[in-house]
Amino acid sequence: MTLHQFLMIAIMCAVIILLRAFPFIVFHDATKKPPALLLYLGRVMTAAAIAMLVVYSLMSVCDFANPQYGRLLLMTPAVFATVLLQYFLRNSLLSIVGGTAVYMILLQTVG
Amino acid sequence: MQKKESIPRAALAAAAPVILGYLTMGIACGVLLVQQVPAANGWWCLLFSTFALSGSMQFAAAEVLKNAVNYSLLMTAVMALLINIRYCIYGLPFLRLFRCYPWYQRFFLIQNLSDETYAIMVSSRRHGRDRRNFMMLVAAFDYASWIAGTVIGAIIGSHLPFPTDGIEFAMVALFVVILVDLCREKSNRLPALIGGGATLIVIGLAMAFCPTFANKSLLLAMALMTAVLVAMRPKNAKESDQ
Repeated sequence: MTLHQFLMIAIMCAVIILLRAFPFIVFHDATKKPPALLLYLGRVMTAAAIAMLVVYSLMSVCDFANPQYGRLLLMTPAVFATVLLQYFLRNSLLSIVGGTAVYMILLQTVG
Repeated sequence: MQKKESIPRAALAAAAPVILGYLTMGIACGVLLVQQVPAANGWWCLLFSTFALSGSMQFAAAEVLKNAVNYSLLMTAVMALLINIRYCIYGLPFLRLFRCYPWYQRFFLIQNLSDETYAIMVSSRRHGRDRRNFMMLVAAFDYASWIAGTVIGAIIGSHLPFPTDGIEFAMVALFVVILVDLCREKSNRLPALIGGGATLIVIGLAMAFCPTFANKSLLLAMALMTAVLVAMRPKNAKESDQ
């Protein structure tokens, strides 16, 4: 592992720990109300960030450095499978394993 | 007379679905991490999960660490901030309550405010010592099962008996799964659309016109997304700012 990777992990850990501790550090006075903008972002940012990660991780599987757009074609049925499994069965692990299996089989046979 | 409830048993019962979920998702996460990050192994996952209790962050870490040369430390920090920003409001209902506990219990409880543990803690109707013991136990069960999951996954993941080309899709699948669950709630649909749309536009343009910039454009996408969300916040939220 390079120093850079080590620092990245350290930063990720530090950000998470500080975020969780944030209200206890800043709002010492429990009568003071936290700013509305913060509450609003805390509510909406999760969905936005996860949607961002969906798009971004799809692109990164296509490989930024050497784009292989054909993989998007293989990923479409896999994403569909994941969505349908999760929407109807609500079993996260099954949806992840199922969707990933669809992609792996397509990639290793067709791709 | 009513029999006194057993707190450890109640905590185990409340945590059971989360324990199962964390074990299995942890395994998936551990498998992905050892497959994607050359340096990763069981010990490594043990340390990582101990210090960074955040499932979606650890899945994203698989990509970020695999292509570490493409990510600056600033970008890593901003990404971690946005993915986990909801945690900074999870402590609010507990501001008063946690202050009554010794510092090490307070720290442990605060650092265990994940989506699931938060939901159990915030809905507990117990009081006093019972409540504290209940919350400590639930947090400990959840924490231990996530750590155990990632370590088991890391051990399994380095001995998979079939070709693993394409296993990186597990990361996409995890985010799709979380998004499907979030979008069951109406209020999450517009933010999701904004986040996905902003990223698609920025990365799409970057890939079309300036491919070398594509993987660095995430920061721009995050800025655009945040700006649109702030600009679109409901009026009453703006007024209550003062």
